[in-house]
Amino acid sequence: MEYLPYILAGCVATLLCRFLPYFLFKKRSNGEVLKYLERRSTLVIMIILTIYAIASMKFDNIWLGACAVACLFLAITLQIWRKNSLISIAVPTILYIYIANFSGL
Amino acid sequence: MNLKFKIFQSTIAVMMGYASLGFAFGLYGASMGMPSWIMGITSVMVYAGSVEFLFVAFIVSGANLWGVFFISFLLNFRHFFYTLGLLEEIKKLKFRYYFIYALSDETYALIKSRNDIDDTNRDLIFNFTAFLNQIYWVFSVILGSILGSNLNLNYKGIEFSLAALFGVLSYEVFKRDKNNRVAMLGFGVGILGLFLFPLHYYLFCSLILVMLILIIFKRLF
Repeated sequence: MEYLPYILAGCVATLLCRFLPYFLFKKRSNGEVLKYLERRSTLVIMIILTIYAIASMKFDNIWLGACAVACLFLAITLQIWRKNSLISIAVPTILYIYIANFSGL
Repeated sequence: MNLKFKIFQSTIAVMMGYASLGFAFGLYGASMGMPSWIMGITSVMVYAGSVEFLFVAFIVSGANLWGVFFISFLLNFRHFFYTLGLLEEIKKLKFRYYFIYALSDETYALIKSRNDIDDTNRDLIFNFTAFLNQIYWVFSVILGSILGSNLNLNYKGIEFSLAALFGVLSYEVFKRDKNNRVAMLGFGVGILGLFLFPLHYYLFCSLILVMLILIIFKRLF
C-alpha cells in the first residue's frame, strides 16, 4: 500500500499534462497562434520523436547505431517506393533484429 | 468491421514496440521487488512508458513525493503539445476524455498521419487506436512482471520498430504538407538536442525549444 501515494502523484502529474491544454484552450482554441502551432508543430514533433526513438535504443557499439540509422533510411525509402507502412516497418525491423543478434556487432 | 481491422493493422508496429518495452519494464519492476498488480495499476494510471521506468526507481529508493510529481510532470510535459496539436479534432469527439488520457507518443503519431478521418469515423479511429495501444502496453507490462524471469526470451533489437514507425509516419506527414523549413527545424533542433540535453529530458527540452522558435519566428514557417 505504500506505493499508492506515488502512483497517485504520477497519475495526477500525467493527467495534468494531457488535460491542461484542453481546459485552457477549450473556449478560445480558434486563436491565430494556436491554429498556427497546431498546423506547424506536427512534423517537427514527429521528426524529434524519430530521433529520440533511435537515440534511446541501447547500442553495444557505434556500428550498431549506424546500422539502426541505415535501417531507418531503408524504412523511409520503402515507404516512398511501396507506400505500405506495414512492409516499410517490418522489413527494416527484422533486418535490424538480425544484425543486432547475429552479426557479432 | 473493415475500418476496425484497418485501425488494428496501423497499430501492429506499436504492438511490437510496446510489447518489447512493456515486457522489459515488467521484468525490471519484478527484479526491483514490485508486485505484478502494482505494475499493472501503474501502467493504467500513469501510462507513460519512459516515466514508468524512473517511477519504479523512485518508489524503490523512497524518493520524496513532490519530487516524483514534479519529475513526472516535466517528463510528460510533451503530452501538452499532443493535446494542443489535436485540439480542434478532440473538440469534435463525442468521447473525448478517454482519448486525451490515453494520448501517447505513438497514438499521436498514428492519428496525425492518417488522412481518412471525417465526422462519421472520427470517434472510432481516435478511441480505438488509443485503446488498442494501451491494451498492448498494460498486457505486456503485467506479462513481463509475472513471467519475466522464467521466460528466456531474446527480443533484442525489436524496439527499433518504434523508430521505424515514427520515421515512416514523419514521411507521411511531410508528404501531405511539404514544408522544408519546418522539416529542417525539426532535424536541426532534434540533432542539436542530443548534444545539448540529457536523454531523459531530451523530449521536454527539444519540444519547448522548437515551440519557442516556431512562435518567435512565426514569419519564417
